[in-house]
Amino acid sequence: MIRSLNAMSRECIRLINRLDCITNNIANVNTSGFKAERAFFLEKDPDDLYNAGRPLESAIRTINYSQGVIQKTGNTLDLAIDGKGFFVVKTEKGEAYTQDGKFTLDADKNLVTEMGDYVLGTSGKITISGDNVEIEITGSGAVNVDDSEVGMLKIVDFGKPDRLVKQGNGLFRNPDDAAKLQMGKTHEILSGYLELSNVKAVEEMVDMINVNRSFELYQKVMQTLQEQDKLSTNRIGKL
Amino acid sequence: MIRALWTAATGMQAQQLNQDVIANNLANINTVGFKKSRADFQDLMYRVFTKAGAETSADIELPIGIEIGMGVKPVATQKMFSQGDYQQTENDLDWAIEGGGFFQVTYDDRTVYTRAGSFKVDKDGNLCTAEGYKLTPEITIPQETVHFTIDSGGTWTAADGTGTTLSSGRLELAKFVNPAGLSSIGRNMFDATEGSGEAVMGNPGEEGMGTISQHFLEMSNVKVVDEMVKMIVGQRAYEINSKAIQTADNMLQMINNLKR
Repeated sequence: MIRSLNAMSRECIRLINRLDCITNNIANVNTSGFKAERAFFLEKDPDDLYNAGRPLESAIRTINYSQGVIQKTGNTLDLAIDGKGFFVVKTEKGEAYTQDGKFTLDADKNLVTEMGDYVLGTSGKITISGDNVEIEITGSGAVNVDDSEVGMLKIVDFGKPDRLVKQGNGLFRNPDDAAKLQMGKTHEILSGYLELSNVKAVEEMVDMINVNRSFELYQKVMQTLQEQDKLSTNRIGKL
Repeated sequence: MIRALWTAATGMQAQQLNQDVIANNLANINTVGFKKSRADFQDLMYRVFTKAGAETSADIELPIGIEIGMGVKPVATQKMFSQGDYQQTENDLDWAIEGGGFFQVTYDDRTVYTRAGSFKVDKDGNLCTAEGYKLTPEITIPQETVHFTIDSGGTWTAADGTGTTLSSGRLELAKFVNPAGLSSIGRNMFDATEGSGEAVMGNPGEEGMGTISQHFLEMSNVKVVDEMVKMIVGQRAYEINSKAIQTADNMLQMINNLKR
């Protein structure tokens, strides 16, 4: 009896984690460059639990890297990657990767993210220098200022993007190169466009209903188990 | 308590800010020289539950870890400097900039920038904005002036009734590497920031500066349809976040009902 109750309560906690994950997607439905994610819990042989004392399930999340809708903004420093690839950003904790191309300039005219981290080119940070500032960013990622090239945006891709770790602020991290960094090949840079969040409200809604109903079901099962427990205790007492 | 409650609350706050920005855009739909804004969001930090590559049992390695995000936060509101539509007027002192560039105005002992070219004359004959802030470099119109003209290159001429030139000069415009980084200070004026870079001066029509059109005004660049669509999207996003709160609340209630 206790064992089934335990199993049910574990299942409920997983559902709460799934709801947290769905809610984070929903909260970021308007965040440009955001990639939706799903939490999964893989069941293992329950005997493992008792034999080895290890957890019953392993938690897994997958990130959906499909491209979000690309929206025109008209600002030259709003960049979207059409195709596969990530911008490279230099943060205090090392390189990070992002598909959120809302860039701006800092006091020294370096290309930075809205959080102030440098956006890297193939040869380090990109500085906009020139007297008569006309910035143009070409499809291949070349940054031209007054018709002379000042840098080339570094675009990378990953062999195993699922190994990337989300860091917040639209950034992804690649610990120990688990995601297999490689240079991006199949992409085009769009200047004056942003890639919107790829969260699909319908999917999240359906998933949320699913979680809610499953939770209800488990609650009913737990109540039934309690009921049975009570009955058997009472009857045994009468014997 | 369930984290989803707080996560969804950040989502609702973000959408509220989004609606504030949209409402301000819509309120300024008829403001000369107004440039619309947009609210930019980023995801908050993630809490790591299990790390990728962590071993769960003797010989099984987890391929992927799990991190659960904490929601969303607003990071910036950005100006959108697309061109507004032009409207013809009869006024000699209504000027529109066709292309890039800003008029310079002295405000609070410093130079600020505006696209709103509906100028007036103050009691000393200086050109100023409707609120009395002087144009920089100053343009002073003699009292006897009957005809005032400004050509596309910014050269202005004040002439009397017989066509004799009383005074003339050339208007200077300012432009920025990244105008989207300018900050609004209200009254149709913008201030330079680190993000926009320093102002680069120049004459209209030269080196990428826009040209001046007399008897025209640049209207707001807010497009009602775009804003309406954004408003609908924002409202629905708000709604779905509230549903997430309801779901979390519902689940909490079920937990409470376990014990009878």
